Amino acid sequence: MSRLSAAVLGACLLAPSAFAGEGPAHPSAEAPAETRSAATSRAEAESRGLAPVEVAPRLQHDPFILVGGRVMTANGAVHDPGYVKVKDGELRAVGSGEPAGTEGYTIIDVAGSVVTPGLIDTHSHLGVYPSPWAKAHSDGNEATAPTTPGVWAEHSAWPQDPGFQRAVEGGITSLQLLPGSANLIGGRGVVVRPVPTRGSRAMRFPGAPETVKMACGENPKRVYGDKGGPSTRMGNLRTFRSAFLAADARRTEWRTFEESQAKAAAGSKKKKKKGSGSEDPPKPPDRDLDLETLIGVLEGEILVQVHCYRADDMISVMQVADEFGFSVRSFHHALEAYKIRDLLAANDIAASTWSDWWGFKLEAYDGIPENAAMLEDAGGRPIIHSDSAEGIQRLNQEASKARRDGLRSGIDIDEDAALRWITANPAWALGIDGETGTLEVGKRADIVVWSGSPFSVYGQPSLVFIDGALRHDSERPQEPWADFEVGQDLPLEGVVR
Amino acid sequence: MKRALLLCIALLASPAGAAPTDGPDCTVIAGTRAHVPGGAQDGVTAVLADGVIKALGAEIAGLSAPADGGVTWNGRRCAWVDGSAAQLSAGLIEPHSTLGLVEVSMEAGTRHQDAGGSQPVRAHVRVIDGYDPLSSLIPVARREGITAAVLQPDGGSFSGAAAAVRLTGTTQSAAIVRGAGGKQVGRDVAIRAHLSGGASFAARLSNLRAVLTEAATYRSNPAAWSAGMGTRADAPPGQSLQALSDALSTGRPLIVSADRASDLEALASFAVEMGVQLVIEGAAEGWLVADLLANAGVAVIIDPFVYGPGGFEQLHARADNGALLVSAGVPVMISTRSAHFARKLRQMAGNAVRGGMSHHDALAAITSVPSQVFGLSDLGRLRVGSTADVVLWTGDPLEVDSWPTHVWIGGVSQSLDSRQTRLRDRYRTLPGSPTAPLSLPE
Repeated sequence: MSRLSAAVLGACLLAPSAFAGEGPAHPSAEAPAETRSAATSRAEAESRGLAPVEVAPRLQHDPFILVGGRVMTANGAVHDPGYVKVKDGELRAVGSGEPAGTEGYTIIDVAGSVVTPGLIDTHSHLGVYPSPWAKAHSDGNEATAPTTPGVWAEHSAWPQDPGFQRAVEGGITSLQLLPGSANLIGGRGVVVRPVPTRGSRAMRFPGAPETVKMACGENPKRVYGDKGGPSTRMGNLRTFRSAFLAADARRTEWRTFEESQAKAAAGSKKKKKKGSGSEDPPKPPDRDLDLETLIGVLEGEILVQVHCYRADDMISVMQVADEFGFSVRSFHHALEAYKIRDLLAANDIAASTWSDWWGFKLEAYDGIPENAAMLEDAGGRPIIHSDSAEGIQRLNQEASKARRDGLRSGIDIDEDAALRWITANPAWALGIDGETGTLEVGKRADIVVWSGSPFSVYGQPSLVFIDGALRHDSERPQEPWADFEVGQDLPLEGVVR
Repeated sequence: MKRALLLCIALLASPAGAAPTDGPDCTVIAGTRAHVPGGAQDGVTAVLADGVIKALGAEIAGLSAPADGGVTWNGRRCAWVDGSAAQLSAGLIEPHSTLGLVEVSMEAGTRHQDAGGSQPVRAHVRVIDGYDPLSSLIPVARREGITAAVLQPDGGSFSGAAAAVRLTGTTQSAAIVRGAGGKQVGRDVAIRAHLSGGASFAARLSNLRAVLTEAATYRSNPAAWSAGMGTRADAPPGQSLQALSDALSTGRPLIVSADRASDLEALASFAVEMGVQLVIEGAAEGWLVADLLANAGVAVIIDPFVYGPGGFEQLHARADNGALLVSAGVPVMISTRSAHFARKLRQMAGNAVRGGMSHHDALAAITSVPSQVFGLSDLGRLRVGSTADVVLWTGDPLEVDSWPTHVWIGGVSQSLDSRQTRLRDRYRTLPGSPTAPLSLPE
């Protein structure tokens, strides 16, 4: 717990035992039946929705030390050669030269390799738009209403998407699965580990806060323009504000209920002492999944991730956030972040962007490849995201290109800074920076060993560890993780190489 | 230092003689690593003059450094570029692009690749007519070392004639790739077709076959066709059949898209049966039928970013597809199949290398092979006598952290600015766009 950032702490208090893998199996199993029927607080109601059926097993691995490689920590320090010591899924020591206390550890010689934190993608639709592309796999946009905050990407995510294993082969160790951007409020995202499980909940990053996907600009008005609206940017903004007005009102109802319940509890103690009779218990507000997500936003428990391209659109969303007292954690795509990099830095809002996507629609027309570098230069938090089943396999190349375009324009970006665009900064945007994103003692052992420079098109992960468990070894091909891929090559066995 | 050394060598080798004359279109690129057709060579000096590569090698005759400064080649004054620590390649050719055909993908009014309409056979439509050499996308691509592109029409079953342009000039006629005698060889380089008009692959291929057969019928006797088959309500326009048969009879390729091995096999048979030069875009499972493709003379345009089972037609895609196709003898090209993303071209080629293709073959896939397949004169080759469309890079052209320092098209140094660099520069100081009022008029 002590390793969690403030935002994560909030979420943990919200749902004290509900996250997969590291808590008790099913909270309701311990709770008396009557408390399951009526929530005593909003937090309790929330925690029920997060109860796992499938519990991810705690991964066992032998302690090991990576020695001899160039260790890039993503916190400013580069150890060349350095070492990384791992035990029980945790980074135990990181430093230069020869490690001490090696007894009981397997030594893995990675001389000539580069060691980095596992990569983190803030924007993926793996699982919700899985491979292979098929109509039946289109689970990313609940495009039935312009706001659907009550839907969860987790409930669409197919853990059998072959893309998860491909992502790990590209060095990804954590990622946020998001609903699409058809809706102004598309629903909850989920931060997951790309590991084989049977249900998506067991993929959840333990303790990660909840997130919500919002979208501004062209997409919602295009999708709903002739389906009752909104059909304009001003309509988009009214829809945002109306949704938060309703959430704010419901939040007040929950607060009143929780206060009166606390009073009633205190009162009943008194009355018991006096031995007097009973009173009607306070009635909780009706459950409403849409409103509860937005209340979580207003409470700062749910991290806000907003698809937005244009500078003025981002400013509009920041105004809504100010009006209702929440903050945006990261804009996504954010092609015009460079135009408002001062405002983003001052408000501590990250920008998840690409290295070179632009022009596919009008709100993307002013995208420039120096976007990330200019934001970095202004003291902001640039992130290179993929939004692509292909791009997530080579996020390092995308960061390298974005760095190159900075260098080419005279903006000096060192390799460690560019590495943070795909490690430490996305960890922050997802509220898991206390747990992962850098190679620092005490953090989870999410590590990539690269066959060469991760900034080279030829460099690729040779070893990928998640929580200290080896998930990819380029020299030892694995069975496909996805059932879908099993047996597809059967007719070719013994026929081709 | 390097320069002085080179010039010393050059001076010794140069003939004594006349005073230098001005040569504004002469450039000497000295001491570079050059990606020539045989592979990469170090310590190469190149001379670009009169729009072509005049000399290329370790030692160049006729180079000298006159006492009044500068460099001359055979008496012509030349611009001098230090190529040490840099690499020189032929300009990149994007073989399957919509550059200059689209400005904003989702704004229909800015898209000019698809003729639309109910008649699917429109082989007579020339995509070059919609090419906008003033598109903001052209300088963006050129800044990444792309100097030419094959423009692909889209839509229908026979979309129209593909064209080839160089990324320079302000008019279509200046941009069109030209051959000997100034002939506009780029006006009509191939016919783009689509497997469409049926639910099954077999039906779609049958449609292609039927139209090609009808085009041959038309060619042999247009009057008979007009009186007979041409009277059908849905008959393709005669001019379309004419354009199609003209193209195919002169050996111009037919381009279709397919990925599944079985579809590729059927297409290879189709190419032999119909006697057409086929280019297959996609070919994700091409490695499974590489020999069949090679035997049918089929060339391919692949996507090295292929990531496994992206679709049911790509279940057997693999990273070394390009390498296996090359080793079977299939001409392999690489494309972004894009306009806005054309600048990813060399990253894709780099990923083909990562997947097992040789660096030489991957570079050829975005230079000499498209030139050869689409008949683009002598573009795409770094050799003496070729058109001087060349790029000088800070490092390996296929690396993601290198970039072009110079781009020459026809020996003329091109601007590396783009609308994007202008936006960048406008916003180097915030608030960027001019927010301060004008001063009062005097």
